[in-house]
Amino acid sequence: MNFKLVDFTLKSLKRNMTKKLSVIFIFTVLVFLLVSVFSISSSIKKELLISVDSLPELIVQKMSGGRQTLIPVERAFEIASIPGVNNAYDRVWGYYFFENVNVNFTILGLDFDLETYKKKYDNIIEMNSDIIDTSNTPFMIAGKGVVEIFNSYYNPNYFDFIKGNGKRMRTNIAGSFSDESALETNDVILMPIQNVRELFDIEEHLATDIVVRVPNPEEIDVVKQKIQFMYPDCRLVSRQDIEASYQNVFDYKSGLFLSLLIAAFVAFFILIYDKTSGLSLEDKREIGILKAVGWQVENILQIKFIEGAIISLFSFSFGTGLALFYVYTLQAPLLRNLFTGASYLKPEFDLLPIVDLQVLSLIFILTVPIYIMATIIPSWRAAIIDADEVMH
Amino acid sequence: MIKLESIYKNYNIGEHNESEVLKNISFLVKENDFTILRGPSGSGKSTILSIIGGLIKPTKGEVFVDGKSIAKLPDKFASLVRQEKIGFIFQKFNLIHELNTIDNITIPLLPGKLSRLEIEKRAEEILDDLSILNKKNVLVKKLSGGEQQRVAIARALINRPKIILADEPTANLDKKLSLSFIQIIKELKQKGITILLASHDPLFSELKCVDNFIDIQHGEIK
Amino acid sequence: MFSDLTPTSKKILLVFIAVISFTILEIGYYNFEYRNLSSTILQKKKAVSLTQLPDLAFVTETVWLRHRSITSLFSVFPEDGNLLDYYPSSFVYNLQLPNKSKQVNQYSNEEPRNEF
Repeated sequence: MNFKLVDFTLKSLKRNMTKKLSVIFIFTVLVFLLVSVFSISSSIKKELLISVDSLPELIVQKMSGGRQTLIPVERAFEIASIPGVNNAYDRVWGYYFFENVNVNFTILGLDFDLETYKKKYDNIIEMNSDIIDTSNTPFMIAGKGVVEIFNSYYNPNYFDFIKGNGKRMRTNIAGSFSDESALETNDVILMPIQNVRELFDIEEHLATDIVVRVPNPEEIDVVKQKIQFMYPDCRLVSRQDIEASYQNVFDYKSGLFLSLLIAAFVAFFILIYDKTSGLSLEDKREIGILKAVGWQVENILQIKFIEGAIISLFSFSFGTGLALFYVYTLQAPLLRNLFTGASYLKPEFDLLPIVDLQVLSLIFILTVPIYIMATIIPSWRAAIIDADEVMH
Repeated sequence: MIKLESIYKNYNIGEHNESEVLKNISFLVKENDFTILRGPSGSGKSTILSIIGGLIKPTKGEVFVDGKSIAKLPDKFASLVRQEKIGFIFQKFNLIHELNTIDNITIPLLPGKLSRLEIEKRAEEILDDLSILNKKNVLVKKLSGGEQQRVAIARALINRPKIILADEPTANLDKKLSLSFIQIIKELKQKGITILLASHDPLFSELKCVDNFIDIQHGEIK
Repeated sequence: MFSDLTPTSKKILLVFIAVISFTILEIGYYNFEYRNLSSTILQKKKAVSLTQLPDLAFVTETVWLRHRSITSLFSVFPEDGNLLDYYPSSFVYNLQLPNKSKQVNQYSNEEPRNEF
């Protein structure tokens, strides 16, 4: 590497400063927006993918007229007998709309005495030790968002659910979920299963849906087909379906925003087109002079390569650095709302700091080499013709 | 040192506006000679210098510079010849206006192996000889005509060439500056440099130190 | 080598290298931060393992569990908390907008009607 040529190039960057700064600005903004959008999307996707392994392999819903209805509990026993199925159990859960605050709580019924559940919730639930005997009165474990709503709009110790028959069901708050699981549990209320049945008026022989555990991934499709054959009125939602639908949604959300970046893309490509379509007279004259005083074509290409590389690499790095700081340190104010949508129970959560090197590489390949080529090609065209012709 | 054999140069070959700029140009310039190409504007003097300097290729014929044929040399080697043996002073100086004096002068040596410090030392010596050392860091566009010409000369001399080619060097200068330029040329000749100068300035016709006059008219040697 | 660079060029090169280095360090830092979140991630996994619900809390305010047979991609994320889920138009406005700031039954002494 001839550092004298590097020096010449760096000094020449100070010439036409306005034009070069505007190129750097557009380039940086474009990279900033691209990296920000992809980073937010990757972070939220990761949040989902982290927990996807904990989800059941299959969920069975009964459909009637295209809508979900309650499913007979006995189907769980029949499904459990299918070879390949490790476990199948009914689940009672639903949404409770608290009209005064316009929020939906997700209410899930659990058998709190069951050993399997005891093991699971012991580490993630903070019990209110000064409360109540959970053996008789209805109680709940609430997500942090729910607790805050109750504190602000009702009562910090209990809530009166209104049942379908108009009667109230006072339910004490026995504990809350930890802060770390806020994103997954902020709007969740766990209650004893019989209380949920009572609240939603779901009879003993019915359930909201049936969870099916199939440990061998190879057998999931077969089990799905068998269940579908057994119960044609059912809809089966697999773990892969959930993964795929979120992939689609985040790709759609990213795509929607990226289409709004069209203005930035257009500006960038106009820049590229302008560069490749030809040099200014002054630039051509300069190349002619360099050739006339003894520079070879490769020397000229070297300085143009260095110039293109410095501008594009600087812009790419600066844009990427700013974007990562904006997303993971400042937590992407404004932009992240695009992905999360409207919610009154939106938890305070930090975006997981995922740096997807594949995405960065893709953005790098789509911008840096293109810009460098756009700088080199017109210079090469000018450099290969006779110096005399170029100068005049 | 410089030998041209039956040089022809045509532009726009095969097109309706094809023009024959040089016809059968042959001459010899010996080492350490000071030769003037005389002729009116458009006679082909600049074209001859450009061919000798390797800036354009002749349509036909041979060019020898310091014993080496350069007419058909690939661009890479022609550039090397320019770098090592030839210093060119252009009619309009052809300086890079956004660079300062010393940056303009050192351009020819940047691709080479000398270090920056060595190059700058050499440049300062030449600037001192030409009495413009004090303008070292001034932007070229802020220099006067005479100063710019001296910068152009300094750039031509930085690579210690054996041959100086000068194309209408006094075209943009007044008489005083032209005489100053002639003085510099005389000093260069005394240092053993071969000089080939194209001009229609009558000042040069009266010079006694000129070894040869070659008259060009309508692309032919008269 | 570097002696061939003038002070100005060295400054520009330094800024350039600083920006690239900062970005690389930043990437390394965030990767390191992510690795330190293992306990948080474990908490999240446990929470999902308990609830078995796939949605994140900012999307749970819809009625049904996601399936590819659901035609409207757009109903996955709620556009506004006031929009209640409804077939076939996918949402309906709640025209009677309640006063959110009104405190309801705050420390009320009133006994609830008709006990459970």
